[in-house]
Amino acid sequence: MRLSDSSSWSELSDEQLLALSDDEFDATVPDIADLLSLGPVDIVPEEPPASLWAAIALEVGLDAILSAVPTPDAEPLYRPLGEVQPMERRAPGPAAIKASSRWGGRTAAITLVAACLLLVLVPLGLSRRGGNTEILAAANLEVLDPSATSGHVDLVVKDSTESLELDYAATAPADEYLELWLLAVDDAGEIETLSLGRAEGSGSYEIPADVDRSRFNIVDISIEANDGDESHSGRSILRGQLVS
Amino acid sequence: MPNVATLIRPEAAPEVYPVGREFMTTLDHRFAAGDDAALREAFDLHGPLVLGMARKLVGADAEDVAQQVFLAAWKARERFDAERGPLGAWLVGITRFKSIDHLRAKSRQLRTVDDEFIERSGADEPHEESLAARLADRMVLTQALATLPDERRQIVKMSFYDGLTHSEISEKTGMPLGTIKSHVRRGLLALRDHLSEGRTEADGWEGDDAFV
Repeated sequence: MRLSDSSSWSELSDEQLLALSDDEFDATVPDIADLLSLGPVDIVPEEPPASLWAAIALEVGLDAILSAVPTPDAEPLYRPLGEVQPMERRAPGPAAIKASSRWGGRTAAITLVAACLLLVLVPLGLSRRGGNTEILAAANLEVLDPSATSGHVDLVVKDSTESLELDYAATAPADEYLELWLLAVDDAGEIETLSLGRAEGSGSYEIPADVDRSRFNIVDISIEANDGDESHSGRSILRGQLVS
Repeated sequence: MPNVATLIRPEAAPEVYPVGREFMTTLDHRFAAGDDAALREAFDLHGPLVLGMARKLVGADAEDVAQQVFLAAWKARERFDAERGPLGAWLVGITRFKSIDHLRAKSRQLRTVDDEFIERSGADEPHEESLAARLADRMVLTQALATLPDERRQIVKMSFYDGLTHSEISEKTGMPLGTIKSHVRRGLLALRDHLSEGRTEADGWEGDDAFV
């Protein structure tokens, strides 16, 4: 007799359930009797600080927008110039208005984060790498999911080509992959996403020359399923704002 | 499906935090349906429980874990089935998962940065994690027990907390031995489902349940 799930055991009659020997039954509920015998462990509730809800609302707000907003031209990098189009402006329907109002808090929070980052970052404008590589901005990427442990990105320019020097530790779940994004948020709270292709480890990721990079000041790494959907999944694992 | 009607017990769970009390309320359904306001309400109602549980398991990082719990729950909300159990119990399962996951990630990080650490105490880390996992299991079970129907809950408690034999419980309650045994077995099966749900369905997207 199988007791593999609730639907099967709850349909058993008492006769059937009691017909199982102790050994047979114990095998279906391993450890539970032992754990129970150790006695109850009550949880002492702890009132969450206001900052905890703020952090959750921040993530949910952005992720909800990202999930809802289609990204028509979020093709990976290395396409002919001119093909990366800004997101189509849509009439601000109810969803857009809602997104906008959410974004108000987000913007304030980003400003705060940016201010904090400024305090801890060294004067990056002065830093130089190699002969003609200049660091324009940098971001410490916030870990949003346990599949990532750390992330940092420098925005560098070399021979008038801008790229992201990415340094991160994260792994994609099996059968899925990580994708690198630049995000832009306008005053109306609408988000444009620009894919820089799959994130395949720390290294350099070039930004297409025709992109107005100054608008795209958020770096984001997401988990993407192999489902043919090229829009952002909303499942961000690392994210940070570039600060010059 | 378990007998839902028998699980609605407004007067249940006097001695533990009432995760089962709002069972089948509209909040649970609105949460599953993706109502934004329901997330806030769920946080207000269950946040103290989630944070308290995380505090006991991961200490200073409890806020981080609690944040992950609510984000994961929100992302996986379509898989929350209000017919199978209350939202609070589901969140407790996710807290269990995220806490253990956090401890694993942390010890992995320590191993990476400090080779010496491995040599000195590497063997202790899995032990610590399994201790935490067992504590988390007991928390989940204690909470899940509160969602059982009154009679069944009392009999399971007598059997395992008080260590009474089935015959002793039968004498004490005046119920036939077979009824006692049936309650104990059905109770254990229901608790098993709570525990396995926390282990496998809790996580929104990694699908990693290999830490048991």
